[in-house]
Amino acid sequence: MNMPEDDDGVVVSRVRQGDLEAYGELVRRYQGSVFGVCYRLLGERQEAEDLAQDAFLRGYQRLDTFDLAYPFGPWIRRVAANLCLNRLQRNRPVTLGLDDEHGWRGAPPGPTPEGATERRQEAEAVRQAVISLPPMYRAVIELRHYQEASYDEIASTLGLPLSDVKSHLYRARRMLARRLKGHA
Amino acid sequence: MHDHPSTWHLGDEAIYDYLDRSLGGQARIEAERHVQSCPECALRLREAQALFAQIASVAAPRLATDLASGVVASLQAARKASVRWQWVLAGQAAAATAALAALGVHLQRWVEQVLHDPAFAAVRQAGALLLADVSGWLPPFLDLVPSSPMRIAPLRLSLPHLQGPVSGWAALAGTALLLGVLGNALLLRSPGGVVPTKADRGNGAAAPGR
Repeated sequence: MNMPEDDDGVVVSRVRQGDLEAYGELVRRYQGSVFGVCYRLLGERQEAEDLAQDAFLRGYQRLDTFDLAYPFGPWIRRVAANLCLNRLQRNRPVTLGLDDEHGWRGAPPGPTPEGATERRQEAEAVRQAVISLPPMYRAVIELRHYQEASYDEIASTLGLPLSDVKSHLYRARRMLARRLKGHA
Repeated sequence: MHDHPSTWHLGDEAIYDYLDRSLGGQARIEAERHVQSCPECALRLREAQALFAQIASVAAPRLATDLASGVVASLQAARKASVRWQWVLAGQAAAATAALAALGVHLQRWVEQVLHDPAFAAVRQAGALLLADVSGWLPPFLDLVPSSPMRIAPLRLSLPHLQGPVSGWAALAGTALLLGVLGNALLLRSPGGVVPTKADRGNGAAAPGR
């Protein structure tokens, strides 16, 4: 019989008492979604894995600021989003990853092989459109659409005024709508 | 927004706010009512819904490796390094204390010897004579000591203990070790070179659910 999983707060308390293996448990719980955030923002698998790992290390360093009343997942995903945004703003022009064959799922397959291919192509087009957005627009899209963060939460995560969050989201969506015209 | 459906339309921003559930209260009810009677806004709402669905269709690839073992290994290594550094710091602090204590004892002995040295008495006397000489040039109200021009004998202060290697090396070693302790303590306190982010400061506004 499987033992029930401990609540995030319980595991975080164990980590705070010095139990590093307990932190490993938290990493296992959220590594998939944290990697997802990094991949969607960076567009490159290896870099996304590196940043996901950095996000967990950063999360450990800042664990004393984590409020046990809230779930760990959204917090660590936002730490990851912020790290990625820092990286994007510091670094490089966007490079599109070519690793579809290595696990890129895109949209779920349709009922027929043709439908599956079509949906995968469409998801790839959307991914490319998202990844071609300016970093801050990409970040607000990630936080709103994939992390389901509210406007206030996005503002607090990215350190932006609420009005900027709304205008970034608006512009990002308009850009996406223009770039995806014909793929709907 | 205005009252007559034929003369106004929902802006894109209002449509996005509606879909984001950020349009609340009366504004939401009005928007819903308007969309039911305005084919143009209903079409734009459907287009926005389609865009949202397209964005949602993008999923990330599966993570091929387990990050947990790497993260835990890094943290364990950092913890061991931190313990090692603490020992280094403690050693440096002990050595610095010992060196400075040795210097203090040595200086005390030296001062005692100097105070009893005849050369020091000569210096003291020369100082008094110099003061008397200088005061002769000062304005009369400062002339408390009678002026007596005298030749000051050349100072020959013998400081044998200060010339010895012990005090200099002890002072140098103690200072260097103290600086080392301070520098290492600062290094240990540094956050690790990653730019701090606002999200790190807490999670009071975290989103619901995982």
